[in-house]
Amino acid sequence: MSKTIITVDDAVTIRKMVTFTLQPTGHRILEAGDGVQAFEIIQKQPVDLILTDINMPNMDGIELTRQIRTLPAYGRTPIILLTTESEPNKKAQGKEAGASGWIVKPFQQDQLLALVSKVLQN
Amino acid sequence: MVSSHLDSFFKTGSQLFKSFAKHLGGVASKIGPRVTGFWWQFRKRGKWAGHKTLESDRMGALAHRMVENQREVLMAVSQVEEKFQQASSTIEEMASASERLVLEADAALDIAATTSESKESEHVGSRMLRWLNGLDSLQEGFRSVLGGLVDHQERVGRAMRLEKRLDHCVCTLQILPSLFKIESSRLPVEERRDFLQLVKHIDNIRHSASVSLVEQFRTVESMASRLTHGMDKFQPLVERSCRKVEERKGELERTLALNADQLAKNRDENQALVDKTRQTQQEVGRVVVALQYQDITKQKLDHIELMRSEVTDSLNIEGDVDPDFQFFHEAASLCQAHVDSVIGDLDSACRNISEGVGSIESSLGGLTENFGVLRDLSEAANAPDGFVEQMLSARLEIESLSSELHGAIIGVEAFMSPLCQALSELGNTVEEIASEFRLVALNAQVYAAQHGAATGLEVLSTRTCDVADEILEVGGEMSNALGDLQEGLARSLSRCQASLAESSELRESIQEEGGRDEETLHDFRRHTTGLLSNVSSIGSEIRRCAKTMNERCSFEDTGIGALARSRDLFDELKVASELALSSPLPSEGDGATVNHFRNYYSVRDEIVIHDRLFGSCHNAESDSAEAVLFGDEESIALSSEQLEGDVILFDSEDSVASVASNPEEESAKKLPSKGDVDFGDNVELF
Repeated sequence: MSKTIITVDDAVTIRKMVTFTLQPTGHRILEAGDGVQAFEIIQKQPVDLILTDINMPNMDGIELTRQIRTLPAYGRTPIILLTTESEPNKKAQGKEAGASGWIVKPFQQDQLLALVSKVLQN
Repeated sequence: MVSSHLDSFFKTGSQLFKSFAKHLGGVASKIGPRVTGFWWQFRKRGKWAGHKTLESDRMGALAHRMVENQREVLMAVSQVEEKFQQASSTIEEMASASERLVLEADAALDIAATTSESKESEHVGSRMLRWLNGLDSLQEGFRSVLGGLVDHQERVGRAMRLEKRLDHCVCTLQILPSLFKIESSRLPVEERRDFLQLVKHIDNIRHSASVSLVEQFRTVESMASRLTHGMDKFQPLVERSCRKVEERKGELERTLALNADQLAKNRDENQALVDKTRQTQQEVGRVVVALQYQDITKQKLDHIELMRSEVTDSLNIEGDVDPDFQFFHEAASLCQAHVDSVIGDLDSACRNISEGVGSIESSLGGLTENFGVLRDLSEAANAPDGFVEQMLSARLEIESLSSELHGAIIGVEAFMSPLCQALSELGNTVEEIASEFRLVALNAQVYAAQHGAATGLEVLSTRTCDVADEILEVGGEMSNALGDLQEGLARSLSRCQASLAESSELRESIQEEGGRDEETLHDFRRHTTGLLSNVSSIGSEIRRCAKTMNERCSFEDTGIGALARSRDLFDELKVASELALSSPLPSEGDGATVNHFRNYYSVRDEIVIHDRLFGSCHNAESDSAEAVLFGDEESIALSSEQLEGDVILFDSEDSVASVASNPEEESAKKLPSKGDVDFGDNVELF
C-alpha cells in the first residue's frame, strides 16, 4: 500500500537522493527545505513517515520533532533523523524530542530502504 | 487419389469376379445333370456296341489333355496370386513407413513444443502434423484396399477351382461329339437320330460354356493388367512422398537444433543481464553516497569559513605592540593570509563542485527518466502486435538518449578540466602553506632557545609541524583524486563512444531483420539491455569519480580540517609571543628576525636568504639556529649537530628534516584507505 513520506533537508541534493531512493517503492514523496516548511506541509495533509535533517535554518530537526509530537495526529508517526551528526548527546536530544530512529549521512540506499520498510510496517 | 483409384479398381474387380463365379455356377448347374444323363446313356450304348476297349483308350487321351489344360489354368491363377501378394507386401511396407513417420512427427512436435519461443519451429511442426495426418489417412486407405485384395484373392481362388472342374468337363465335351458321331454310325437308324440330337445339344452347351469362359478369362487378364499399371503409378508417388517426408524431417531437426542453441544463448544472456542489473544497482547506490558526500563537504567548508572569520577576529589586535609580539603577529598574519587564500580557493572549488553536483543531478534525473522510458519501451516491445514498429521507434529514442548522454559527458569533462586545474593550483598553494607553517614552527623554536620560553613554544612548534604534515597530505590526496578523476572521465568517454557505435549497428540490424519477428524481438531486447547497461555504467563512472574526489577531500581526515584547527594554533602563537615578551631579549635579534622573515616571503625560493640571516645575527648559536629555519637539508643536519644537547627543542628537528626530505613517504603512511569506510553502524532505531 502506498504511503506518504516527507524528506526535510536544506540540501537539495540530499532531498533528491532520498526521493530517488524511495520513489521506486511506490510511495509518495514530499520535500521540504526546513522545519517550518515541513511543519506547514504535515499540518495540511497526512504524512506516514518523516525523514528530517538536524541542522537546518529557521527550525532545526530536533525542534521540528518536538513540534510534530505536539500534534495529536502524529503521536505515533515515525520520525527518522537523517544527519551528519553522530554524537551521543545529539542522539539523546533526538530521542528525547520524540524521534523514532537515526541514520547517519551519507546513507546507503539499502539501509534507507530497509529502515523505511521496517518503520512503515510497524 | 491413388487410394480412391485403387479402391474403385478393386471394387470393379470384385463385381466382375462375383458375376463370373455366378455365371460359372449357373453353367455348372445346367451342364451337370445333362452330362450325367449323357454319360449313363453313353455307357449303355457303349456296352451295347461292344467297343469298350477302344472307348477307354480315347477317353484316356482326352483325360490327359484335360489335365494339361487344368495345369495352365492353375499357373494363371498362381500368377494372379503372386501379383496380389506383391501388392499386399508393398502396401504393408507403406503402412509401416507411415507409422514410423507418424511416430517421428509426434516426437518432432514434442521437441517443437518445448522450444515454443520459435514460431518458425511451431509452424514447421504444424505443417508436418497436417501432412502426416494426411499420410495416416492414406495408410488407412491402404489397409482397406489390402483387405479388399485379400477378399478378392479368395474369391478368385474359389472361382479358379470351379473353373478347373468346368474346364475338365468342357474338354471332355469337346471330344465326345466326335466319338459319338463315330459310334452313332453303328447304331440302328431309329436310335441314331436320338443319339445325334443328344450330341448336338451337348455340343451347343459346350460351345456356350467355352465362349463364356474365354470372356471371363479376358476380363481377369484385363483386371490384372490394370492392377499392375495402377501399382506402377502408385509406387513412384509413394517414393516421392517418402523423400519429401525425409526432407521435411531433416529441416525440422535442423530448425529444432538451432532453436535449442538459441535457447541456451538466451539463458546465458539472461543471466548476464541479471548480473549487470545487480551491478548497476550497486553503482547507483555509490552515486547516491557520492552526492551526499559532496553536500557534506559543502557544509564542512561553510564551517571552515566560520572558523576563518573567528581566526581573523582573534588576530585583529589593536594598539601598540611589542616588536617581538609584532613579529609573531606578522608571521601569523602572513600565515593567515595564505590560509585565507587557500580557503578562498577551496570555496571556489566548492562552488565548482556544487555546479558539478547540479550537472550530475541533472544527469541522474535524465537517467531516471531514461530508465522509465526504456522500461515502457521494453513493455511495449513485449506486445504481440506491431512490435517491429515499436522496436524501431524505441531504438531511435535510445539512440537519442545515448547522444544526449554523450553530450552530457563532454559537458562534464569541460566542467571538470578547469576544476582539475583549480584543484591542482590549490594543491601547490597547500604545499606552500605547509612550508610556511614549518618555518613558523622552527622560528618559534629558535626564539624559545634565545629567550628562554622553551616549554610553551616547544609544544606550539610540534603541533605546527603536525599541521604542516597534514597539509602536505592534502596535496597528495588531491593529486591522487585528480588522477582518478581524469582517468575515470577518459573511461566514460570511451564507453559512451562504444555505445553509440553499437547503437548504429543495431539500427541497421533491426532494419535488415525487421521481417523476422521472433529473432528481431529477441535481438532488440538483448541489445537494448546492453545499451542500457552501458548508459548506466557511464553514469556510474562519473559518480564514482565524484565520490572518490569527495572521499579524498573529506573534512576530518585532510588538511582542510587542519586549516580549520589552525585557529587554535594562532591563539597559542599569540600566547607564546606574550610569554616571549616577558623574557630578556637580545638587542638586535627580534627586529632582525622580523626583517628576515619578510625577506623570506619576498624571495623565499632563493638560498641567498642564508647570507642575510647570518649577517643579521651576532649570536653564533642563534645564527646556527636560524640557519635551520631556511636552509636546505645539509644545513639543517649541520645545525642539529651544533645545537645537540644545548637546546632540547631541537630534538624534533630530525623528524622535521625527514619530512622535508621525503614528505610523500610520510604522507602515504597517513592516507585513509577505502576499507576504513563502514556504514554498518550508521542506523539506529530508538
